[in-house]
Amino acid sequence: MSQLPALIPTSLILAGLLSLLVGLRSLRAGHLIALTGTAAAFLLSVVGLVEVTSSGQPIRYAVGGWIPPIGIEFVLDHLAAYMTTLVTGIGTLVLIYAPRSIRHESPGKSALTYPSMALLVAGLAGMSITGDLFNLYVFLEIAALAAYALLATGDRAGPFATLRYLLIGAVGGGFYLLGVGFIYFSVGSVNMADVAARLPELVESRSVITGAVLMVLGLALKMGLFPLHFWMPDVYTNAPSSSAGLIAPIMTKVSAYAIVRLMLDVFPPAYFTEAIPIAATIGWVSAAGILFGSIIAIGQQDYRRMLAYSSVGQIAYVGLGIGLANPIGLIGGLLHIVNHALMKGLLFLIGGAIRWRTGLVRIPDMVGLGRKMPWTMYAFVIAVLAMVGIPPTAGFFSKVYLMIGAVQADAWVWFAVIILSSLLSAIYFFRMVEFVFRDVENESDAADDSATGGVTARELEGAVAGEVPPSMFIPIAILSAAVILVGVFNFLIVRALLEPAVAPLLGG
Amino acid sequence: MLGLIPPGLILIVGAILIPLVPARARSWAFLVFPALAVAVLANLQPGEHLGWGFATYELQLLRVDALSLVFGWVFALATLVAGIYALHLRDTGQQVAALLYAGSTLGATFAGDLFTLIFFWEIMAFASAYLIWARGTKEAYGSAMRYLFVHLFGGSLLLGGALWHIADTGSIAFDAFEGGFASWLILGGFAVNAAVVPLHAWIADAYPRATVTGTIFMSALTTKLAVYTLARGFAGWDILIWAGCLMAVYGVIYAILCNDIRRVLSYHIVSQLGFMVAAIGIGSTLAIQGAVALAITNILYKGLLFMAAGAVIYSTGESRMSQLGGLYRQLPAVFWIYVVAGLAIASAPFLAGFISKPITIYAAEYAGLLGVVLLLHLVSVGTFLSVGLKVPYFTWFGGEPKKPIQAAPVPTNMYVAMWVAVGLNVLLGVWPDPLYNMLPGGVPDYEPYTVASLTKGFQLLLFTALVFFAITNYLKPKQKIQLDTDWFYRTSAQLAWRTAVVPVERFFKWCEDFTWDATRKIARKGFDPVAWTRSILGRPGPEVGIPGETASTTLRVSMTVMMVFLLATIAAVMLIIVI
Amino acid sequence: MRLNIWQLLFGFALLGSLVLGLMQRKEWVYLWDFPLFFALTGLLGCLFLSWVAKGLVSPLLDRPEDFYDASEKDPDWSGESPAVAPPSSTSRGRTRVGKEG
Repeated sequence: MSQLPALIPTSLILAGLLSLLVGLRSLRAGHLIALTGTAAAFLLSVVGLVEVTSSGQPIRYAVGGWIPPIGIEFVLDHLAAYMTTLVTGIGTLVLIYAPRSIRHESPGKSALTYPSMALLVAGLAGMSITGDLFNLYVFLEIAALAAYALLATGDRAGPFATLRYLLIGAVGGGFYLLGVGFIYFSVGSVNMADVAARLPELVESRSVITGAVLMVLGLALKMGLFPLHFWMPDVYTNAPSSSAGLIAPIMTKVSAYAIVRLMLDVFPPAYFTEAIPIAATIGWVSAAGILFGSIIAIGQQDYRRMLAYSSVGQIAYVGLGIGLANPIGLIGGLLHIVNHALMKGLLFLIGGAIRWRTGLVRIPDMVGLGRKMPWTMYAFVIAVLAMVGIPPTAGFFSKVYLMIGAVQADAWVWFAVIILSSLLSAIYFFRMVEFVFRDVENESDAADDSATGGVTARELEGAVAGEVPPSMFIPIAILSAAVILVGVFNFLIVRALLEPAVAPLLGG
Repeated sequence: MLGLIPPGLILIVGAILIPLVPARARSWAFLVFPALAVAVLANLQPGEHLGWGFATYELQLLRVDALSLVFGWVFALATLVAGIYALHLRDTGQQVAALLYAGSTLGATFAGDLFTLIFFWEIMAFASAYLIWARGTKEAYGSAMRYLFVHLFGGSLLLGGALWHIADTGSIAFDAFEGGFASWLILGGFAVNAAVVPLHAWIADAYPRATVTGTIFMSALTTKLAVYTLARGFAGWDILIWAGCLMAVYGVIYAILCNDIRRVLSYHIVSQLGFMVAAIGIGSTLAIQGAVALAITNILYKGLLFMAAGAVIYSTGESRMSQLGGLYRQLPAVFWIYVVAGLAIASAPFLAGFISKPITIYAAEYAGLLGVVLLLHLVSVGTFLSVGLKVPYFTWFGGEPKKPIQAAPVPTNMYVAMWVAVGLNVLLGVWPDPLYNMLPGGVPDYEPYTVASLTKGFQLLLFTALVFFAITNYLKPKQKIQLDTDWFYRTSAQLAWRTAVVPVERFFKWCEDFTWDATRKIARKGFDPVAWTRSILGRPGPEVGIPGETASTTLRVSMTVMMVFLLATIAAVMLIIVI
Repeated sequence: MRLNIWQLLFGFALLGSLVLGLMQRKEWVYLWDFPLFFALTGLLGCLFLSWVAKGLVSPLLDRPEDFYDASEKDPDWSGESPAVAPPSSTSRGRTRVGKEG
């Protein structure tokens, strides 16, 4: 099965292209192809995951038979398998969810959406699997272009936000490429393993330092690390719900993964901590980002904007894990990648469901929604419990690991920041929960009419009772269950996948 | 085998199963679970059981010793009685929440390690918050949110302190703490739940606003679990003595003043907790036994007080003494039940309070803390005055209220529950041995019934009552509330918002706007530099209009300019690094 | 002076407890071994506490029942939007360009 690593991005790209061609004819077939391709990639990822964890050895594949370091190599090791399973899994769920939502929010653009989604997943999966620095850029750009396409189909302000994102994304990609250039210049290779072997002698070199900084800077921009996060709020707010549900959970995470990959497997151990203080910088910037995101989220009235700022804070958790640079801290950050992907994906899909049923996007308008959409709101409560970090949900455990890591690294400020951020998240999330479950009929002071002149809660009472169609609800239900199950069984993930992944930190 | 099931698990399973029971049988089915838990408790063997691997640690889910066992018993029994009290309830949400709450309390009681404790501590906070929220009034919603935040804050202190402690000592065991910054954080976390002043305001905010049945659970569980955790972790810490004395006095003064019956009782919980906290601070075997005995009996008579008050509220819809009065004709039985409870809490002879509270005072005497003894005697006077005299007088007598009150009949199950509690109070009062035998450290070295102690008890009560009846009008309840430490976070939320959030938002928005304006200006000038230069030099020429300007061109140009800017900046930065 | 049965019983109990107290023969180890200490504590303590509560604390801390209602309306969602509105750069870009030139 040594072709497995190649099959994953290939099947996705194939699905994307086919879906585009067929979709121009028959939307349904186009969607089905995209879904099948993504589901197939997910199954392949799971198979790869099982194989890698049982054998303990990464699966390598040389593209086109060209032997690395001249040829491009795909490497499916523990960390890569972890990421691809996540990316393809979320992709599959969102593709199941997408049709009704897209038809409701951006009618007429479905034909482009499904292939773009498949290509996005392809790009991200490719980024996770590739063992070549330049190839990572290629897949990064594939994912980015697909993302631009997905976002541009959104609200009134969508195209403008996309244009801005494109500009910033291009800059980010450009930095990364420039950095790769510097490394190639100094080392003579772009294959990750090769570079790793050759770098130790060149640790002092200025161009290597520049290359490292540029690469990290570019990836940090794509990751949305504070203060390079400014593209995120507009993008998440104006994207269609299913696109946001796909981009928000996984796009920034894979860029974060790339930084981790650089830190662990490309550059020598302790390069990011001792030679140049990249890890520490990322850590402090993340701490600021965590607080910033949590505080600003409190003020938001638009549901999606609130989630965007919350994401800024949450991705900074991963950054904090990178900043701690000790095994358990990094494990916490990596675990948070999956946890946050599940929680945020769930929240965005719920947002789409709300929009589908009621057309509402502003939180003040959502008062009393718990009556009309009880099951969706129960899922919302689960997501909120996870975001705040209540046991036994997934969010609790990544938070605890990060805190243990902070204690071990004597990082007391970061320790306090993590604690504070949970309390801040509790504020804006529980406020919304309470709002949504209020008993509007019996309450003396009901909500005011919304300023936008949109649908009020009272008008909704005349609407048909009922919730969301199964194609939208099943992914929501699966994600809710996953949030709890991943929490309860997180030790399996940690032991099987994450501990081997961070092993380079312990050696040398 | 039966002896290895954590009692808490039974109740949590119950919380999951209860919605599946047909609606009519649900309240009865509720009782099954605490009853099963009691059966399990009878079979528990002392020792440390049920280890479970988590990360590199070994959790301990069932740690049975005298301290945890005695609390476990009373929590399970209290849940059972409260369940009887709530038999008339038709709210599945509350039933699930109550079982989850009681189950996690038991889970926390028998937790042998810090992780397990924290796990259940957090669940308790949510489950109990639901019981407040379920009341459905606007004040209840706000109160539930504040309760949740306060308890999340306490939980954070606990989590932070625990992780720090684990990092320092390498052990996750929950035992007596030695000192050090981490233990102070943990103490803070426990202190929130134990309503230590100034972290106590949540009790007076939340308990009066919860549902009538929910408050019974709440008064029995959260605060007494906190007493348990303090007794286990911080016995002998001197600061607790002073904190306890402050709580005792503070609580009783507010109790004398409050208008809402349940608020009086809530503040009084703070006062009683003060006795317990002070005794834990003293730390001698006798003192701990006193604290534990007081906690156990407190659940019995405080619960009964809340049940009686709840019956009044259920029946009349009113909880404020200023709006009540003259109820004796309509609710006589509840009156006498309340009187028994009020006497019990004031440590009247032959009731449960008489065999528990004096132990704490005696322990203080034995430890040589004479000032503390005097203070606690004074507080006992206040206890009887506020809870035992003022409340029953102004609720059931004290002249007719302005708006006449029609008392609806009180459901039978409530009476049953209350009489059971009365019975337990009297039983323990005359025969304290079952309780004394279960106390940690064996039977306390204290003889409750002597002529001297009886005399003291009677004198104190009778003369307090004498003064009360003389100055009744002076103590008449007014339709007002009293400010407390929650003023700080209730009024400051708006202020915090304005200072912390808004400036940051404004700053970032300004940065964005500035960038856009600048690039747009440059873009325009860039379109036709000649015209611009001419206009600067003062030579009039054709308008500085942009030929064929559309939205998209300006946008494109703005974008390009911005990109150039960014790249130029970065190139400069790079050059600096490289050179 | 007409006294009902309750008041009579009460009076008896009072006197009885006083008598019992005086009959106690105990060494004066502590302050509270003084014969009528608890009676006095009840008497004076009750007066003292009532005065502290009603006379000192109450005037300071009493507030009307609806004291907190004003400050607890949902502050940011009452219809005013906070500083951050949807990107004004978007709307500004479009409207300005549309009007000029």
